[in-house]
Amino acid sequence: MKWKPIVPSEAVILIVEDNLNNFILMTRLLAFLGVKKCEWKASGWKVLEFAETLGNVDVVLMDIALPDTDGYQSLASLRSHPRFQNVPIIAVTADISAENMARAREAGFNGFIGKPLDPDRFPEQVRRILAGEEVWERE
Amino acid sequence: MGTGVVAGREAPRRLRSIPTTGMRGGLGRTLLTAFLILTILPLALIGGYAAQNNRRNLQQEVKSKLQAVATLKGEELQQWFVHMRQALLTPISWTTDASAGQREAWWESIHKQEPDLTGVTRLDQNGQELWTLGTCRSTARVAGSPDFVTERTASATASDHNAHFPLGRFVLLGDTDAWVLVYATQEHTTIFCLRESALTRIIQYDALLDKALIGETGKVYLVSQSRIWPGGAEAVSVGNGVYVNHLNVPVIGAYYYLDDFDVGVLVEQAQSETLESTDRIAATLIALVLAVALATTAIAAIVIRQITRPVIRLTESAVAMAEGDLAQHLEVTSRDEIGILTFVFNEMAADLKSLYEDLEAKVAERTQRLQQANYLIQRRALHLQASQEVAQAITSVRDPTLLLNQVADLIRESFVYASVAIYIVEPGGGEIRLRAHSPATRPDTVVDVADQGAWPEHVYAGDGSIIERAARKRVSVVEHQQTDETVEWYRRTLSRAAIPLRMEDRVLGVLAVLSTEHEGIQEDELEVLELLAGQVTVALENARAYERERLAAQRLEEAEAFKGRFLANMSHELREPLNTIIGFSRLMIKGIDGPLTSQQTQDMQRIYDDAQRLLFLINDILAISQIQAGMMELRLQPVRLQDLVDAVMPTASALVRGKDIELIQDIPADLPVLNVDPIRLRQVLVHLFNNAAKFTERGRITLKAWHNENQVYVSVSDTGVGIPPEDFERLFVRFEKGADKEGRWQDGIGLGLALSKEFVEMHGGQIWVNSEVNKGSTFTFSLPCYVADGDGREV
Repeated sequence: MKWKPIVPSEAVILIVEDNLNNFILMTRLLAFLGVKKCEWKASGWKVLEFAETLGNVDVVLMDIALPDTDGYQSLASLRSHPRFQNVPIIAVTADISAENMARAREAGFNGFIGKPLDPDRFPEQVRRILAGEEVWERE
Repeated sequence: MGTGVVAGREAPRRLRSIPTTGMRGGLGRTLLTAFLILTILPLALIGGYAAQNNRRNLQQEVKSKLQAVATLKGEELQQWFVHMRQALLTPISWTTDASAGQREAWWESIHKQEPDLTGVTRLDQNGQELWTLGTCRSTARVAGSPDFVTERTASATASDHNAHFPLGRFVLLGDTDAWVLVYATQEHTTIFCLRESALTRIIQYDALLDKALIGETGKVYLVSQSRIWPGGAEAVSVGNGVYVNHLNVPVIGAYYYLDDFDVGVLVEQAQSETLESTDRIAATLIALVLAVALATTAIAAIVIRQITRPVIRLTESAVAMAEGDLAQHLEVTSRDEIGILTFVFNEMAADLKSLYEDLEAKVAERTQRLQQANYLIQRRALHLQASQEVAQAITSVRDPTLLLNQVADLIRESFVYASVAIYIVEPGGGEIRLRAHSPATRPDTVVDVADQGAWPEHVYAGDGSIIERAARKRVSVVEHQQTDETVEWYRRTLSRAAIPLRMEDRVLGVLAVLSTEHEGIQEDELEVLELLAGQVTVALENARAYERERLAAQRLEEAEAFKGRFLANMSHELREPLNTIIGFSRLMIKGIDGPLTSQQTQDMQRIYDDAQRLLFLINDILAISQIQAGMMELRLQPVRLQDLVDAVMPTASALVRGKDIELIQDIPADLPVLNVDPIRLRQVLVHLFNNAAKFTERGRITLKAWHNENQVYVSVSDTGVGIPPEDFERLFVRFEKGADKEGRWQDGIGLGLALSKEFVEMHGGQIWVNSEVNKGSTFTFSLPCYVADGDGREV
């Protein structure tokens, strides 16, 4: 899937992450990158719940190990929603096994970033994604 | 097992064929012949004798009568002769000189007096006629011929008969048609010719009387000079008794001879007349005899039939018996010996039959006993086989429930029981529970006896059931119960047996069986069942022990898996905050949150470094846990070692930063492509570099690779402190610290080596260490060569 490149300062990034600290770390790093607007939902279910209230989203960074519904189920739900059909959704997970990455690719994620996030590399990874590049990096 | 007797009983009764051809009816023929001989022969003899006697009597009688007639006639003739002699004496006395007148005068007188006298002639001694009175010619010509006289004279002198023709007396001579009286002297011969009828009259007078006396065929003849008159035929035989006369007729005759005149009277009667009555009697007799014979034959035939019919029936029955049909019974029809014989025959046949049947019954009984013995032996064999099968089954089955069910099924099938149940004493001993039963469906579908229907699910102490009693008394209990079916065929013995499953003096349970066979559960069967119960008990104990062991092992495994899962989860949970620590510390170090003082940066760096180390450790634990939990799978792919090493080198360089260590690579260009999981192999290399860097302060860390046909070898050598040989083994064990004997604390090698060992071995290789204390260590691992299938893809 190809998506339209966008400059970080204009991008809106939705972070689906149950760990607040991780979310904050990510927003800091994204801010370092220049991203001004980040949305946060703690679960895929909540994303769907508030899909209508959400503004435009350019990229979704989604944890896979989520409460209630895991990342794969959430991905399927989001993909069935018209608003997220063409939005790149990137798996961000601590399960960095090759199996998991292959599974993510199979399931329809548009990228894979392994946890723990490397603060040295994470902004660069997101920048590439916003530039329209697929990123599949486990660490 | 001895089935010969059975076969013997089946042998067909041999049918004997009796060769009786031509023998049937022989008895009747014999008896009939005997009868005929016995009846007809005496009759014929008596008849014959009577006829003969009668004939003789008749002949005698007739002969007497004829004799009387002959005598009578003879007397008459005698008188006539005497009379004639007197009357004729005169001429005799005449001599030759007698005058003719005298002669004529005498002739005149005599002729009137004797009308029968036809003439008188005198012949001289030469036969010359001297004179003749009346007519006597013919006679003279015959009788008076010289030949005649001469012949007579000559013959008289020559024969005895002629002695009766003497001189000097009257002799009667007969001719064919005349009689003459001849009186001869020496000088002359005087012939008196007589009328032929003269004598005939005398003989045949009073014919009626004669008829009565001599019968229709009676005739009187005169015999003279061997001739018979009338007729003058030669006399064949004269006189006495029965003979065939001159006319060739069988006659009875009587003869009276007159000496004086040399003449006889012969009276004959035809035998046919005489014996007419006697022949009639004989014929009658013959007819009678024949009739009697016929009647006798008929009666005899009937009688014989009467006699032989039962005999024949007896014979036929005997033949039938000889041919094997012993069921013979004849009706006793007559009250005589045959009847007795029949009766006795019946008795004997019945005896024989009953004897035979008795024998058969005995044979059958013996056969049955043998069959029973056979059956018992076979059943015993079956039981033994069953126990063997059970033993076999129970040694191979480990699951107690399965075991009990199999045992129940096996016992039921092998022993043909209606149902088999196995009860197990519950822990605590107060309750016994049904644990297995065969058939699997509740047995009330098999046995239609209400209270036999089902084995109770629970048996409680003291409830008095057979199972409870067996368990309490620790001995087998058998109960027999007759079903009260009215039809014997349906009547069965319901036998229930409960055999305790004893282990020493504990009762583990009860084996209960229900038999609906006719004979019920026998003692020998119970023994086999007890044997089986023993085996089952042992097997049950074994299975329980096995089950305990298995459960323990399973628990252990579960614990291990839990541990693995726990560690995996924990690692994950641990990593989350660690990621925050690492992330934010790195954030601060990078100055994203604003500039830090050098002291702050230094402190932050420490936090960051140790957090990083902790993350490595946790990652290792996670990996180990995954391996332990069996969750780790290799993703093998063709990999060039050089590429991997190139990827690892930046990390390695970072590890030895600040130390006087030279990193050396020695990888031949022709090293085969490896078939490995690059992530894991990379981890191994990182660990080995990490390890080498930790224990080496200065010198070299050399990575070397080489290969032979099958293996690729990679070694990482350092010039560090080295490892004492006794620690070699412990190095690769999880969580073993690399602490030396002097208590010198070495930085923990943690899980690195253990994990490396796991990874290498997962690839089918080996890892080992060579080390000399204070000189350095060399860790070497081997990997099997990759056999390329086409173009080896690279990472």
